Amino acid sequence: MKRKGYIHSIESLGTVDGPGIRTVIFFQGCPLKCQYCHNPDATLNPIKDTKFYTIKDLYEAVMKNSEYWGEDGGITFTGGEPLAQPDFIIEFAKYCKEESKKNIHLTMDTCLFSSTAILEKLSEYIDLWMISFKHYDPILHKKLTGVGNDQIIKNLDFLDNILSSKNNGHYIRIRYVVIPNFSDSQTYIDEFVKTISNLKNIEEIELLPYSRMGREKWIKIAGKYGFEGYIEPTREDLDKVAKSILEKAKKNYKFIY
Amino acid sequence: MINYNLFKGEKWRNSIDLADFIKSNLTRYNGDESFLKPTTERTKAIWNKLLKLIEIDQKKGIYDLDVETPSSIISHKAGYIDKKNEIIVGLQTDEPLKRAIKPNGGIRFAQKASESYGYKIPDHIVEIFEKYRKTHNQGVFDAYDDEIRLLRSKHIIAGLPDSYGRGRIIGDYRRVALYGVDFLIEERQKFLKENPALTSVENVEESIRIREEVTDQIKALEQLKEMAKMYGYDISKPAKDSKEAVQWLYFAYLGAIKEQDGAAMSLGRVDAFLDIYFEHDLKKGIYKEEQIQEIVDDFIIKLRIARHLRHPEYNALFAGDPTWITMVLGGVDISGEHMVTKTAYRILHTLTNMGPWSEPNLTVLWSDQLPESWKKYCAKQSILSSSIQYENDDLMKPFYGDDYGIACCVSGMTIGKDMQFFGARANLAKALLLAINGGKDEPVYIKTTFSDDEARSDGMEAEKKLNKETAFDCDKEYCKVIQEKGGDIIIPNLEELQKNEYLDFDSVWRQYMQVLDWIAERYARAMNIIHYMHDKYHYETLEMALHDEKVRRFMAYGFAGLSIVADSLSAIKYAKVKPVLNYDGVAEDYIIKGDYPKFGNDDDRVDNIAVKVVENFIKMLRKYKTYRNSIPTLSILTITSNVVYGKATGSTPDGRESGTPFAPGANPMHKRDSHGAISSLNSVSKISYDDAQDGISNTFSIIPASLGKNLEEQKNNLVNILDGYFVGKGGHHLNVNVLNRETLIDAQKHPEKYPQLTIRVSGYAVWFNNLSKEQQDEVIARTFHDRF
Repeated sequence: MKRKGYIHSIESLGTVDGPGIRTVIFFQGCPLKCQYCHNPDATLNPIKDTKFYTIKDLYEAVMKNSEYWGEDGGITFTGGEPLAQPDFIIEFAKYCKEESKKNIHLTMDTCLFSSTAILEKLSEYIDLWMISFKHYDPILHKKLTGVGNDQIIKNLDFLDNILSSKNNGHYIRIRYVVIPNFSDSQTYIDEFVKTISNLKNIEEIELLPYSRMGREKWIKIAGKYGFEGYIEPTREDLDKVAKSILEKAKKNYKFIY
Repeated sequence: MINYNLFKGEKWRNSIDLADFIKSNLTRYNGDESFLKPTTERTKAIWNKLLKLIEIDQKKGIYDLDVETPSSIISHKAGYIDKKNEIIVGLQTDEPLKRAIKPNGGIRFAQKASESYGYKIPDHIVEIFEKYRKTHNQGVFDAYDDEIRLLRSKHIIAGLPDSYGRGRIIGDYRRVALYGVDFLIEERQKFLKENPALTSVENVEESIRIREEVTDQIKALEQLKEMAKMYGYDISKPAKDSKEAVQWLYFAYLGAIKEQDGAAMSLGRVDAFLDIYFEHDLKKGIYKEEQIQEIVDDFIIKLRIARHLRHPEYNALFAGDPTWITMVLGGVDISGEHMVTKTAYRILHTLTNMGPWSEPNLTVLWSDQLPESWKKYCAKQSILSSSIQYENDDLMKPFYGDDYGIACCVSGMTIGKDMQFFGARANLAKALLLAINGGKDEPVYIKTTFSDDEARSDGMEAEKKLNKETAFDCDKEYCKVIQEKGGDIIIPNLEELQKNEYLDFDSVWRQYMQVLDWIAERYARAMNIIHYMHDKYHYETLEMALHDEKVRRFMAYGFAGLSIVADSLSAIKYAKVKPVLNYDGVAEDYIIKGDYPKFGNDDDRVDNIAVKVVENFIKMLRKYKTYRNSIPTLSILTITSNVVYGKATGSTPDGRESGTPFAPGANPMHKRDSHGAISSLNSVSKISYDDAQDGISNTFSIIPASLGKNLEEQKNNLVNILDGYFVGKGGHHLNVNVLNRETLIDAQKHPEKYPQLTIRVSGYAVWFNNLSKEQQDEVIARTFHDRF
């Protein structure tokens, strides 16, 4: 219980990071260095903006909003990368279930760059895994994020298997980042569908439109934005990607965007 | 034709008891909105005709004005919009949107208002009210003492109803439909006969006053019958069908707004009552749904075109020409069963049929027990129109039972049984500056920025005035122009805390409480005078005729500046605040070193300061004797006066610059709530309704994308927000705006593109185009919750 979480901020009204109304906890720090990251303040500037929370303090801060969650809402862990602080998250998730005596809906918004042991432990607690999938191509993935995607893809299989064996209703939502002329070509989409087609616990695919929202923050913090030259997708672009995925996929995914 | 013998319930037959009639005969509706019918061609034609007149009304300030005929229940002959096609009839004067003068409140107010629109009240009428017939305004100023005058002229207490009608009284207009006017008259006559106390020699003044008032009420009821007769109706007997029920009720309301132009002339609670007539006629096959909706639409149209004569300074306080025809919808009865009827749906549906509008002021009473489909329909209409406010039914019921309404924005009162003495508000931010500056008032400057050539020439003017010490700190961008020199001693014998290097929290708090108490006593004195005189010279004869003979009265105090006071005190406590003194040794600015917790982030360190200020101020107000033994209550509501109050208030220790607006009502200051909308709601919800029983106003603006990805999600999320704020946290009131900031900016530039854009401000809705540029800027600057 002495352990402290490195938290960038807490947003009390989140409606786009998981179902219903959510309290969104932004964890500080991230092992990936996505060039277009829209929260560079949570990934690059670890100490300056960090608040340190004990598990109890964080729980109390978050529970002040619990009356707004209704039947669908709950807590979303995001960042930064929450899985970069695995022990804190595991203890916190455990504490939530024990202390509230309720099944608070917990969503993990992650890139899944983590160890299988952590995923196994957390699979007990996390109701919804929102896994953002940056790119199927390992080289482009590395160029974009600083790391390859083989471990991420392996983890995806691993997590899927665990969820299947536990069969406790927990599931995965894949978030596909749509960047025109970067991730929306037919080849990339085909490969993406191939990657996820054997996974049994994916119910939903969320298309995340690339956003230049982080650009100003990048310039402020790092002096420059490393992902120039790309535009934000239109609604029609997203429709097109959804259609391509559905054509290839064996399963009738629910689309969110 | 209705046979009242077939209705259920007994109590309402023997004495006036609307709550019993409604509860005995109500048909609860649990379904969704699919039964609703669209507007008819007839309605469209009438509304479109009015829209043209409304455009002129808005452009000229007023469409037309009758300066010859002081308004009364029977002053004007019948007027029509389109006589052949109107279903519900009755206008305030002989023409739609033509306003009338009501000089009993104050002849100067009426003159000033008329002249500002290019009209002149004829001399012989002015002479009557100056020489022969004293007005409310004259009475008040004859009795005001020097201290009250000083507090008033220094804007420490402002907006008092001392030169215009007080309003905030709701007649039980339903009584006319259910009982007919003759029965109401008989009841009053019986009361005079059967009350020996009224002839006793014990309470001389009180019994004489009651006899006079009740007799005046009887006369008003007689006049009401006469007014209806001009339109060809005999309302002496109860209404015989749906159309008559609406018509009788509307006549009663119309009589009230012809007699009075009080700040808020609210309608009360009519949804379930009218629904009983509608259900009856639908069952009998007398009307079909389409016709019922048409009656409702026509009724709402009448409410949309009610107008009062105001002058521009008044409009600065209460922007957008509001009449506050507040009507509450839905709610839950004492036993926990909901009171949602199809008519609650029909009334909200007028926002679809005729587009969003600022009036009537649609107020949904929220409770855990409401049917889910109703909650979702309200959310949908809110998202599409930004025209609805919500208030906590579970919180108010213990105070007012289950047949209450809302006057103005947030003031609860049992219909026909309670009334209030409206008291505008004290500026508690200014009071804090008095406490810091040892009882002297602070200098107030306005920063004039020069962004274009025209403004730059103003700046040159300001430079010229520099010699007269009215402008200072001028540079190329802006000039600070002194509005109020300050430095006058308002409260004697206080310590000059501003002379310390840093402000000390305990000393400031101690002296602030002293100042508040000093103000409270004078505020109470002013209120007693105002309402004594209003009863004497501008008594609401018809509205009070539609109350019980004996009413409960509230003395409704109010204050502005909650978030500024909380943040300023928090800055003094948790950061270091250094006063910057002017040549007179009075603080004109503050330097803040370090960070401090700000109201609106669900942080108890500062939120508790806000709670304590409210708790202490009402305690102080409760100490003083009130006119007619009214019960002191307190509201945290600014209407749109937060802009004007800000203009009259110097720099504050929270870093707010002199002359800039306050946040409205109990809202946190713009952009200081950084933890998202729910944390902001949580902070406001901590203010106890027991301490601020006249209402705690909160305005919530969110961009559609932040509320959810599609309408379905947005509806669910808004319902959860409302459930969380009211049921979970016990919050009192919430205005809901679902709008993009860009929409407002575009509307400011191109008003013609947004003919019906409506937005909720503190406790009511306004037509955006009707706000001044300054007020529009303030609305646009307000925190929009837009984080992803």
